[in-house]
Amino acid sequence: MLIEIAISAAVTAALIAISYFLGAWRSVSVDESSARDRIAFDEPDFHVGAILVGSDGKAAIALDEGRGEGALVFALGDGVATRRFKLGSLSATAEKSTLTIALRDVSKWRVRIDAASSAAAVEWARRVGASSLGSSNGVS
Amino acid sequence: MEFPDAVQIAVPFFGVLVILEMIAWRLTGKGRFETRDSAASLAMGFGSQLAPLLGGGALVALTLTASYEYRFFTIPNALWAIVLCFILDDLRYYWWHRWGHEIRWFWASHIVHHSSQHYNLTTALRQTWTGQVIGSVLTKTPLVLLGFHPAMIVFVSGLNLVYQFWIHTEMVKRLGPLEIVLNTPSHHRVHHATNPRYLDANYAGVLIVWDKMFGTFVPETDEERPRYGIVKNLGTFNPLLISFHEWIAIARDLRSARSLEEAFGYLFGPPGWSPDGSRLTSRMIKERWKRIAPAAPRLYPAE
Repeated sequence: MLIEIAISAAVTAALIAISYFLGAWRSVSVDESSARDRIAFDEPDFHVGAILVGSDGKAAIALDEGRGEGALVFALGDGVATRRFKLGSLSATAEKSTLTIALRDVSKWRVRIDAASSAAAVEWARRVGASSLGSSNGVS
Repeated sequence: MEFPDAVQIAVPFFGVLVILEMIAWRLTGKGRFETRDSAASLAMGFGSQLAPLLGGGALVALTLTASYEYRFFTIPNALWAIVLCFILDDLRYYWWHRWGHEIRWFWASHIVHHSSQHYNLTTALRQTWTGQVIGSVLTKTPLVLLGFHPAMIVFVSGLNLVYQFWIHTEMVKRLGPLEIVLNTPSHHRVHHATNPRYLDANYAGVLIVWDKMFGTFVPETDEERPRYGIVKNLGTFNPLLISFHEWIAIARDLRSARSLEEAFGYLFGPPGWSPDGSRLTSRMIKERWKRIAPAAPRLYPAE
């Protein structure tokens, strides 16, 4: 039995290695177009208004202010996922140029978006609501 | 009659076919692979081999063996009986699989298999670790009570599982007249898709005729390419979180339940059920799509 398990583990490791050497380790970059596309697919009744795309391409956030909702889009490998939420329901923190939104989701605890400037991060933290501004940006 | 372990025999072929599909992907660009996703799927497959050793396997064996003592008939281990058992087990699989999508208690286990945004042969190996302890064996007891030997049932279930491996691919488009009777890569791509048009369809294991009989068959269309995964895709490749995230979500919901009725809904209602309707079930997602799609037909383009 132990030998079977060891062989199985070795085969698993070998397949992962082959996948890597065949160039399958790939990451997608989230841009405005891909963020809008994913939101349109996952949340078709969400009307994208203002949108902030992280300058590092890892995540984006969009607002539907008419509904009082936000949608996060984040990259995972070569895929993207969304999280829709009520504005004011999540903790949003601005620290330097990074906007951090804490989720109540065991598969994704937080999403960080590089807002390019500290002013933009602070402004988006305010818009997302329930904000708790980081001390390093000097705003409280 | 001795029944071999079909899955055990097939495992080396699974490995070879995964490698061939990866090479075909590299050479042709057909299909899609991502190393961390494949690693997660393979780790889930590896874990699913170990999970029964924690007690689930013994529970299944004990239940089937004990039930056999109360059988109504004794069916011989003949070829005709194996064929009949295979067909009846495939029907059983259809309903078990359908409940796996319609009842959250079962979905919490089965969601693992759907949690990849990819559809390739490694996805086939993304198997649950909790399937044997949530009651799957109870769907097999009617066959035992009919008089099929437990070893025969385990054997045909293994054949069913082995068949389902190869249909997890984008390399094969359509299979002509076989599409009428068999579950094929095309039919199963629909099953793994999150496009509202395709949600909760094609539950078959081997014979697609069950879906046609029970009204859950949806054909794949060239106009709308499937997008794979779950309606709220995971944000992790961690196998432990993939395995248990829905169970954790259920525990949280139960803690917030204000009545037994709510607790029952969270456990046995459809996935996405909530007391105030603030979350979306598959049915609600499909209704929303029907409302919105005519006005915005370009929302779901073929890629």
